[in-house]
Amino acid sequence: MLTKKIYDGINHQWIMFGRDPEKPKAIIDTNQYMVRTRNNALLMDPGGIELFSAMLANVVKQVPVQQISHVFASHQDPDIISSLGLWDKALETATLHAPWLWEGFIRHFGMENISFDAIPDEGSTVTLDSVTLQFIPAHYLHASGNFHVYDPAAKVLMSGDVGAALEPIDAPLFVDDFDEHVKSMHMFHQRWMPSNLAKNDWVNRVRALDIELMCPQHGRMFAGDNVKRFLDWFEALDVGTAIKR
Amino acid sequence: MKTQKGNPYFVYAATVAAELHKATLVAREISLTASNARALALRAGHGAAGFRALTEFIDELARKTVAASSEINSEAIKMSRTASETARTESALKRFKIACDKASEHQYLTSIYPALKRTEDDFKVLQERFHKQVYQLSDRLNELGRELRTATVLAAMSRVEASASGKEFEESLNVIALNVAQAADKIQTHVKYSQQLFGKIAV
Repeated sequence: MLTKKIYDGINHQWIMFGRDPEKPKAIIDTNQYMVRTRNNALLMDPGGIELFSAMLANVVKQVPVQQISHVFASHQDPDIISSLGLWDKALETATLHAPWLWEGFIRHFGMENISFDAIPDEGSTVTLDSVTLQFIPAHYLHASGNFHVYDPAAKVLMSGDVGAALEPIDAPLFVDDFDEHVKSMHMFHQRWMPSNLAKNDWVNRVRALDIELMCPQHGRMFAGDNVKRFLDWFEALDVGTAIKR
Repeated sequence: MKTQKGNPYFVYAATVAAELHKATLVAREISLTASNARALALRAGHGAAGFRALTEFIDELARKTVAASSEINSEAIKMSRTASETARTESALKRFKIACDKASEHQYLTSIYPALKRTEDDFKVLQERFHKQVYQLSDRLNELGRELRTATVLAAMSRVEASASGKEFEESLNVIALNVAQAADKIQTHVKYSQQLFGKIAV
């Protein structure tokens, strides 16, 4: 599994994990992210059961496992958080931050040691040492209870399934040719995202944030001007197209 | 933990629980037969005095069978839960070991060891609990099997007493005898099948 430091600040770092060449072929590739501060770490969308061993191995390349004090699940999908039952055995005192809507569902993955912090619909924050991260509402994008993580200091937005592309395991980490990349994102966003109203509400709120790096859970990350290009493209896209109108 | 062949052990454990649930339902049939036997023996009067004496035994057999099969069923459900938990923990242990192999040169490898140790300990405890439950349940099943042999004797004696009760009630009393024998047979079938399944769980 590839590990890439994508932000290196004075007080914290962002690390991306993904492109695991040893993952079973039939499962989609996922990006996992971690924010590391002096004494704590937040693991975001830690992935499915099948990825757990590779993820744990790569996490301990960066931090002792006991430093992971927080876990975040943007929503309830298996590729996001089905490894919870295993992390629950690895982390004795961590807190899982996830949409309140999914608590009873997510607990099906097994959770005895980790405690649950239900994120309210309007969002909330978490502070790791001196670093405060925001849980930004992204409901219906695609799950009915859904959040992204925004780091105002690093100007990084972890955008869950927004900006995702289902690509081969050897795809580059960053979008280089945006127009070319649209081909890989088009169907995913039209089919997975159900609501134009929700999408445009999200675009309006995200435009107000200062973002240098947008990090989706599948595919490539968007840096610099490609973030704005993505927002423009997404705003113009008609989604929820499985229903004939 | 593996079975000799075929399904994983937690599937066998769940199948045993289901078999013993069926046995509980059949045991209730004996209870109903016992009530019918009492009522019929009373109606038959003096001619069925011998049969009336047997209804006490049918009653006792019904009580014991219902109680034993219910308890065994409840134990089987607990064993099935333990089996699933054991399988989950075994899978976690496997994944922790793979992570340790992959992280053999990583800086914080040793930070995984406490979790690995906890999971190993949990697995041992669960395995021991599962084995204990399997042995206990196996003993209870053997006991129930022995108890049910009484039903065959009771059914034979009931048939003898039915023929001595006079023509009017003979047929009905024979039906009672037959019901006892059939219900006991059905339970024995479920018990034997459960015992066979236990044989497939390599403990």
